[in-house]
Amino acid sequence: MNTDFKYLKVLIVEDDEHIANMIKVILMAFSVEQVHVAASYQEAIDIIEDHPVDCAIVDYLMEPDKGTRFIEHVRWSSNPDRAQMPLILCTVYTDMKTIVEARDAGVSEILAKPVTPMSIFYKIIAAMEKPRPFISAPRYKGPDRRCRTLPWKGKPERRISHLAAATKVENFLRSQEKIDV
Amino acid sequence: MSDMKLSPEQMQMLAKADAAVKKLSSGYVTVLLDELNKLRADLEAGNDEDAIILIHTIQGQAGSFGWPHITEAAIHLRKIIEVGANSPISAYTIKSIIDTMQLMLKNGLRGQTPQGKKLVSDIVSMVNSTPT
Repeated sequence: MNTDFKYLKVLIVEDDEHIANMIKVILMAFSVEQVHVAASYQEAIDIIEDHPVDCAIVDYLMEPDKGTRFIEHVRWSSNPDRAQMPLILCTVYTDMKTIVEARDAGVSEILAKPVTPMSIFYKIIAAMEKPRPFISAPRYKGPDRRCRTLPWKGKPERRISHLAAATKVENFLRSQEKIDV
Repeated sequence: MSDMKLSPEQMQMLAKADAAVKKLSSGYVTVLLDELNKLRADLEAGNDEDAIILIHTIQGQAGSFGWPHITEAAIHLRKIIEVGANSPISAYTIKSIIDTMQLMLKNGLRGQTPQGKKLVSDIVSMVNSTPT
């Protein structure tokens, strides 16, 4: 683990002042260089416009805008450094619907409430030190949504079948000496 | 997560953060007591939406400040309110859960305790036997 908290600038986006204060106290105990706190989506946007931030911890359920709106705003930013910023979503909801919504918005990590110094520590480490490849597609921007590779138990993948077919054609053409490869 | 090896500096950093949270938690009891009173008032006035937001707040806060059983009770309370149960039996269940949360607070059932576990287990039985 190489993350040196001393040089980190973290933004907390949380409308519950008690939780925001607790996370701030924890980050300060970690000797984080700068901690910014925003109580709303708009305030968070204003802060990132004015201050460089390395990582953000964002509450899911805020009024009037959910934390995922802020995450989408960051991911679709024209500033590539900002778009790829590690974003940790903090939520009491850990049901599949919320997780999928958060994943599709482009979160890096999900931090379940109640929070502890240990859980915050590990999520920051995971987001900063093991970032998944950043995907920039027409309809999605964010870390690769595949967190792990599972063995494929179905039929061979179509792409592999196409590759095999292409190889066969190439071998045939080679044998016919019709192309120069 | 747990297989990561922590350096002595990181262990020290976490201990410092734990101590800071503990210090911060001492003032939280009053906040939680006020929130439970407001929750009861919201529910009695039929403000279910405000009540659900407040339960969500308590669910996130309580465990973070060292009251995990109150967080667990809040989860069950939220579930029973979210299904829109409005029979006299469910109203009784809701009242009983809030009473139990206040009881946990008044008796200082911080952290994981056998009494707290028993109370949560009683809440689960009560919720499961409440028709929705």
